[in-house]
Amino acid sequence: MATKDKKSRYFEYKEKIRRSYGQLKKAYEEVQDSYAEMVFRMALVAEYKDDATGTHLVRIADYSTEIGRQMGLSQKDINYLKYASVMHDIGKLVVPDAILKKESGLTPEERELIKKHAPLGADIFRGSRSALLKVAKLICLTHHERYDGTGYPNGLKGKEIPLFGRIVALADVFDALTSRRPYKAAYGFNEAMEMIKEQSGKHFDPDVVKVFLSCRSKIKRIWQATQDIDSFVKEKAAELHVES
Amino acid sequence: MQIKVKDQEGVASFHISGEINIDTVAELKKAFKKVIDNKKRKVLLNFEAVNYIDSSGLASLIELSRDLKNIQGIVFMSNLSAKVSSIFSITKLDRIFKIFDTEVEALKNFYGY
Repeated sequence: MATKDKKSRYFEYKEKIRRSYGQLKKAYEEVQDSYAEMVFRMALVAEYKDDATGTHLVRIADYSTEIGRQMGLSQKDINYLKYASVMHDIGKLVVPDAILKKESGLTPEERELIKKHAPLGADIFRGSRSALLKVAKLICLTHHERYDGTGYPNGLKGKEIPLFGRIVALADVFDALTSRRPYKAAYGFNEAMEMIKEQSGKHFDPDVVKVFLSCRSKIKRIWQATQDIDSFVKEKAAELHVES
Repeated sequence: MQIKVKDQEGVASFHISGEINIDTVAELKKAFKKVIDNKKRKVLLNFEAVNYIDSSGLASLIELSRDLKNIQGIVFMSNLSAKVSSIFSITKLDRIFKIFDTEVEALKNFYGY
């Protein structure tokens, strides 16, 4: 009888622990979910300043994730890349609008100020103990470095530039090339691909370029999907008379 | 990604879980096609257990919305997780899709259609 009681109590405790673990796991997932949400919404603030469409952030996340996946990064690193890449331009929050939105004729001083968005973005995350925000800091600081050492802010060269920075640098430039700006039309997909290829070993890490070119069809699907989103939003906004 | 579809008072109700991305979206599109082929005009997508949706996933929702419009149908969405909700805000799709906090609320709103 005593053994039976012991056994049933054992199962009772086991069930309690299992349930508590489930609750704890759910709470943890909720915290993680809210955390990632804040990252996206924070990044959105910087996009408002830049007048870019929201799909820019989705494209950066998707291109970077795809490159990371093809380069064989761990799932953990891929997730860091996915959420941290959207923060790459957060430093633009501290660059005055008048300079950021100037279409042409930037003075050398203004150009220098724009370049400051990289270290200023990194400053926002300085001292954070969060692994994700540490990656965000790295990306902010290094996504304008160039493989040949001619980038900014530190003129890092080759593999001195962290891999996360080398990946987002390519994703960001490819997206800029294929996007319309007040001062330029968008390049076509094939043309932009060629321009990236041409910059292998100069602006970009040849290994990252190689991987990017090898997943061309997926990159094209991402590019096409975000074009569909933009035109759908535009079309519906016109129908609903809401501001797009 | 896992997809469960059930009929709730004439509404094809989708419970999707996991990540909707470029590698998993084909399965979701297949399930959407089945609904359209069966001329189901009311579709509800419950995103409670979806932890991420990428551009391909968003494009599949747009395609579904267009296909439903062609057969005078409509899609509602409910229970958006925090991440999915922020991605909808970023892309402004939150201003276009009909989104409800709960499934019950969404189902109630189908009565007018």
